[in-house]
Amino acid sequence: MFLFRWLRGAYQSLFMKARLDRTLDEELSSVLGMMVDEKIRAGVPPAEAVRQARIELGGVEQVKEEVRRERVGAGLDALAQDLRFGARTLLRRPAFTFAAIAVLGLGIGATATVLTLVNEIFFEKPAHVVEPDRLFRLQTRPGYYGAAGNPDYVYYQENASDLASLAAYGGFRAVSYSLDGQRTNQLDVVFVSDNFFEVLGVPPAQGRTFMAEENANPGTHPVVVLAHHFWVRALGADPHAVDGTISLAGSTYQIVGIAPDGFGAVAPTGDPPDAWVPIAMFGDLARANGMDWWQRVPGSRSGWLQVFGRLAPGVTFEAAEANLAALGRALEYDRKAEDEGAYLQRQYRYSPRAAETLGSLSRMLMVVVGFVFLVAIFNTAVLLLSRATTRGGEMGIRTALGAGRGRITRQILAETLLLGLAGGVVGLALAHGLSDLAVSLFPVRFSTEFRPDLTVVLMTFGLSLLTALAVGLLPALQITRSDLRGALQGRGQSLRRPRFQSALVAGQVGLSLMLVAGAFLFARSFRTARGQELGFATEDRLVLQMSLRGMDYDPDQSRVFLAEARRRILDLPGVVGVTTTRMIPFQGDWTWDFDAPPGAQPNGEGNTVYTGMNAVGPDYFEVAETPIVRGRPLGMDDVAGSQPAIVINEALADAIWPGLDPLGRTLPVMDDIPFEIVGVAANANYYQLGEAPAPQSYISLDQYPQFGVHFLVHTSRDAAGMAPPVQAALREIDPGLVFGWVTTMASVFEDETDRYQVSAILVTVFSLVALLMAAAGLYGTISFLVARRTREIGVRMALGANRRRVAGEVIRFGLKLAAVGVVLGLIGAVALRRFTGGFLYGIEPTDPLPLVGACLVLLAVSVLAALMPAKHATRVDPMEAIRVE
Amino acid sequence: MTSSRTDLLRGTLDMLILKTLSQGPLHGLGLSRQIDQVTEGAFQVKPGSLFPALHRMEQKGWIEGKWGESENNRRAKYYELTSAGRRQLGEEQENWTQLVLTIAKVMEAT
Repeated sequence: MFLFRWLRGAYQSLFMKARLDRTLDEELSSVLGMMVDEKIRAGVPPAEAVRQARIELGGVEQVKEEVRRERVGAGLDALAQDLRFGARTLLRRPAFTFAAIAVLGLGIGATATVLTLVNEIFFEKPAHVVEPDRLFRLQTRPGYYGAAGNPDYVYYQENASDLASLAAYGGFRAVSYSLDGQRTNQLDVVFVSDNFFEVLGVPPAQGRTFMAEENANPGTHPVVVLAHHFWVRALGADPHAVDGTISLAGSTYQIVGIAPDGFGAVAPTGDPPDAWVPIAMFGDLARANGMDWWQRVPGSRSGWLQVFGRLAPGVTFEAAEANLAALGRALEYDRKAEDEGAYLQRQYRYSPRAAETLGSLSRMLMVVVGFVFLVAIFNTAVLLLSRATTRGGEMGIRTALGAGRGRITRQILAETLLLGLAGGVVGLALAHGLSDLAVSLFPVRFSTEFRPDLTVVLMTFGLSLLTALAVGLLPALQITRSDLRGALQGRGQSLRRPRFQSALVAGQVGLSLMLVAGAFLFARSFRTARGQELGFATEDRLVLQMSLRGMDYDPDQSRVFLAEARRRILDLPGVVGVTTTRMIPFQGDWTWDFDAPPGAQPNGEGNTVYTGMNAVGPDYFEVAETPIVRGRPLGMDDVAGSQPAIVINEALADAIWPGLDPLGRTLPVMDDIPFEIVGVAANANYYQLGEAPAPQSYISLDQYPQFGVHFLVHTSRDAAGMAPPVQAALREIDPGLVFGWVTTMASVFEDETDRYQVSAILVTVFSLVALLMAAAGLYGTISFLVARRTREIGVRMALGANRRRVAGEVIRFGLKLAAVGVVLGLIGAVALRRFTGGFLYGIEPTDPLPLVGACLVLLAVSVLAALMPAKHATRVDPMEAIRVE
Repeated sequence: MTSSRTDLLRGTLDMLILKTLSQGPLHGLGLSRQIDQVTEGAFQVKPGSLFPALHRMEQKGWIEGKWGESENNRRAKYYELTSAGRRQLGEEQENWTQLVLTIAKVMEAT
């Protein structure tokens, strides 16, 4: 009620001012009339009565002003007035206003971009998923990297129903599909339990999700739910898509629903799938996709399903974990006694590796952006301070006319508020455009889009307001303190040295120095990373990804196909060598862990060994040019049925058998089957450039078949140009082959170095921006000083001081300012060395060359910034200068 | 003693207006005259403080202004106590009594 009345009052005061004033007028004139009546009745002559009444009322205008001041929202009215006035003042000085908004916009924009990233990466909730915090990932059987077999999933689901509702998903990528029965293409399918969408709380956008009977018996219900993006891309958002059909790997599937827009991967990273199919269809689709190796999977305990669940109401994460671990231990089968059972992880969390990378990169970005932001604030403050001094006269007059100090302060703050808000708008626009570019810095594929959301918008405007306050307060203080009489006499400026400005400019120089030094360091680091030993060849290597569709291929046939394909490619003119490989460097993370065999040191959590994994064909090491340092590479004899063989790299050998010969030992990488170590390969880069040597293993593709493989072709000429003949050769074997990605190792490598380049470029751009602002700050402050000392300079020149000396003095002043900043910057750079070092490859953060270079750049910039004012100083006409006063 | 005539605490003025209006609607001038009469000239409420007070109290919803005819057939704005104003009057009266009692105690003690 109170609020309502207040709002009504404020509304009336602001927007119905005229009516309120009219009513007040009427009331006062009626009162005046009554007073006159009274006095006439008392015998006062009419003219005298009017006079006396007026005296008694005491000035209609003053009463009205008093009443206005009482009105609700009088403050708002004054604020609106201040803002209007501020806007007019700003518009009258477009150059100043533009500069201030641009500087603030850059600073705020850079900050908002990073806010967007950090917000999206660390705080954003997945779209459409209900209460993601109550979702967990059930990790079982350490040998399978968290994946549970189907019977295990059923076991946990049946026994843990009072703790949580469990669902599962798993699957593979790249299934061929066709909409018209003619053209085929590839899509990514994920197999899910029938309650997958229910447990997540994701409702279908159209149609329905899966029903229990659709997952009850293998192969009985060919139904599919499509992802929204796939529906839009491949079906043109056809409104009648639901109940239509799509052909997956040659079989007809009924489209029962479309998932809501934005729902994709059930984790913060990874590509969103194109379609979901019940787990019961796994066997059919896998067989149809040509890999019957997988057929035994749904019924076996081999882990391939990722089980996740939603905690039942009232059940805590810890309680659920304890109970599920007990269930896991009770699950007795072929595993050893020391099995730790099950443990839980939050579903929407990054893997430790990703979290670390994301965390450190975000920190770097925040620091860089924080510097730019500070420079922007300092710069704006300098701009405003210089202007404040020139506005001393104006303010003096306004004070003389009765404006209170409070009102003048409010007035200046209103101006900076407008500047801050305009800067905020520019900043948000920048952030909107830059977020996608900035996100490419991260070596992780995110499952979400990056756009400033409401939180970021609010934070950005909060930041703008704080900025406005920060940059506005100093000039406000300076102006309200200024000498009123002096101001009116035209001596608007006190003769004090501009201490605030100097400090702010030195600060800008210092921060810029750190950024410039950072840019140099990154550039060097980038060059080093580019030139480093990769452990594999990048030139003249063609990469061809494909899915072994072949509806009628059994595993033997696919082996035959791969052998035949290799033979035909090798026969092509221009081909030096060819091999097959599951993984391509920098294209993701395929990591396995398993119990450490007796005598081996664990390098993973608990008693486990972890290693990056790859499955490769014959000649891999030769074609990739990854040297085998001991033993032999995997070859033609490592086929299904023979002793499983594995090649490990030096990093893994050193980690688990330090000082021992690993050859002949075994690793239980899969289902307790011992894989014999036949060779040791040199270390190579696998995950990202500049990484520390990581453990890596290679097994034979023939012994561990895969759906998706890459042909790696060593060509004697232009690798990309060899793609058509290679594809043609493969189509001769099977015209229905589906190709995925076609690229070269050189461009794969380029993409990876680009990421380094992006961070180098980003820091360079930011440092240039900061440098520019610092130069502007220096220029402004020096010019300001010269302008203020015009008279002094004039007098000195009149007394015979020579021009060069005057110019030298101005430049020295600039250099002195810069020198203070440079020293501050160097101290800062050294203080931050540990932090910077984490992002550098092959160069020390305190390497003198980049630091000295940065100092020189800053000093050169300061001389340049001082040149113009120095020239002005020498042109001071003594006569003019003295006459000014 | 002239100062005591004008040194009306703002709260006191509000209370006086509310009290006076509780006896029936009055226009601004009537209100001023009424207070003058009752206090036998001790408090003279000047228009410069009366009208802002009336305005403020009207916005707070304690009183309501209505245009009517004065005794001399002039259009005048009459103020009337609302129920919120009546409640407010009760509160202020109580506070006032408390204050007077407390001060009296202090004064008697010395």
